[in-house]
Amino acid sequence: MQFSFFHLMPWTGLDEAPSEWPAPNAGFDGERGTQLYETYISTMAHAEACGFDWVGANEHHYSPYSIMSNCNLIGAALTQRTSDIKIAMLGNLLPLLNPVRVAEEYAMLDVMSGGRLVAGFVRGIPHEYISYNIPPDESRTRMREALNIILKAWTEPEPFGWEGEHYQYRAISIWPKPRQKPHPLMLLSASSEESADFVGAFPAMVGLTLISDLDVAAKIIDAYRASARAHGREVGPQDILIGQQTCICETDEEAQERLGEAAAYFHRVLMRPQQDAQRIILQKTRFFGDENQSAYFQKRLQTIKGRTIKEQIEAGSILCGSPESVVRQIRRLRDKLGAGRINMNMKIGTMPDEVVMRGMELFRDRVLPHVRDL
Amino acid sequence: MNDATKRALLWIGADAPALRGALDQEYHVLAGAADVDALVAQIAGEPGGRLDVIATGDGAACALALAAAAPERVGHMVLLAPRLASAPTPVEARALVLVGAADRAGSETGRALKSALPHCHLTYVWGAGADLAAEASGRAIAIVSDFLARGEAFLVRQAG
Repeated sequence: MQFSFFHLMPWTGLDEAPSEWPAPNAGFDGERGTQLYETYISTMAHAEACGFDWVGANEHHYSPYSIMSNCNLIGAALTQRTSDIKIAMLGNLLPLLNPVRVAEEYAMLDVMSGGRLVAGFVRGIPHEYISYNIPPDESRTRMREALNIILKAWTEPEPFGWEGEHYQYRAISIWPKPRQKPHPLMLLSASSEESADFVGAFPAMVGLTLISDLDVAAKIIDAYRASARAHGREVGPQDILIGQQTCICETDEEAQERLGEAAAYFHRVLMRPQQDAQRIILQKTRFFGDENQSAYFQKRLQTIKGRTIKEQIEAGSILCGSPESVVRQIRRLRDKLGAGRINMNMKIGTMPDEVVMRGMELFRDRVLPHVRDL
Repeated sequence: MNDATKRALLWIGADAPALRGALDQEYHVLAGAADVDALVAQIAGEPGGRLDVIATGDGAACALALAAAAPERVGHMVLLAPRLASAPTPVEARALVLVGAADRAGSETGRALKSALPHCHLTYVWGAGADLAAEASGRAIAIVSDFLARGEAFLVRQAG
């Protein structure tokens, strides 16, 4: 199996949850921000010494939930601090962005890193569409069209133009092109059988996160496999990435206590401002194909939030415990979902950075030796 | 659409003919008095439900006072290039505050309103100054119409 160390870069200095979205930024402290970036980037670079195969980051806007509005900037910093680990952008919120710019920035990262880019593309969580004034109703059609433009921008041998529904370019010829051929490893996210069917149509791995039920996740993965097969591609464990909040300590009790405290800040403070915007989008648009999917999205979040740490472990939503327990939990994900990659998010809410670092080292010394060959 | 089916819109402050002309098609526009008691009496005579309020310039203070005095009657509030003599007091009505991007004094007032009102959207209009209301550019008309029609959902851009 392969493992990714993921960082969300949360803002940890808030005493109270912002009451509205966007979260007012008058209290942002630039000096503290600089310190957080240094700590977070150093932690991410340390993943290489801890045996992780990827180091991952993603993009969010207008919220203390994450201070990473462009993960490609963090990826660029990591190309200069690491030498072998893959730089996994998980990913750019493609329907919000200029696809040619994304193709260019990913190509730069791939060349700067010596061909270590994992190019992730996500449709994102609904409220992000307000941030960049993109109609949520167009998210799927923009995603599909933009992915095709990027694949062309990376692989076409000659300059070309594009006349599409959402995007028009009279000429495209990016410099640099990616180092990996025919193009960088790609990953798309799926949260439903419908979106898994979409992912399978592209030469891409699939990523699942916020798992509330392993049986539902297994069906989504089955839909991905079937779609890939229908498009002439057999996918295996190496094509399936499962995202998990992760806390590894010396004992189960310590890990559960640590995660419980940190997750309380995550849910109470960091997730709070999004809720208003999320509600508007879900009520007023067709971001999800139908009401069942919209209801499932909301239920999934509420289900995980409402569960105790032990219940989340049992449901397969998180990895939490002693190294020995986490080995068992990883084996279960491998067996139940056929997943060959796990994406571990260890900096949850107010989790102390030294606990994160210690968890990374416990992973290297006492977890990885038992799961690498699965 | 006849007047009976139009939503009521109370106008307070100096006229902005271009904006009013655009809204006349959709709204039954009432001219407001400058006195809060008279305004409360005036809207009491209107059929039930909430009515929306547009205030220009100095009319902003009156609109806020009305929203405080009759919160059950005021729906959405639009404050165009607002001018206030004192700090605003919070009201529950959802407000759109439009300020010309080149209007420095208006920006201060806009920020004060955004900070004080719990449901407030502050928007700067490019290409406009303190005369935002009188000019009522196409940009201003479009966002006011969208806000009145969709309320907080105006945050979300629609397809097409």
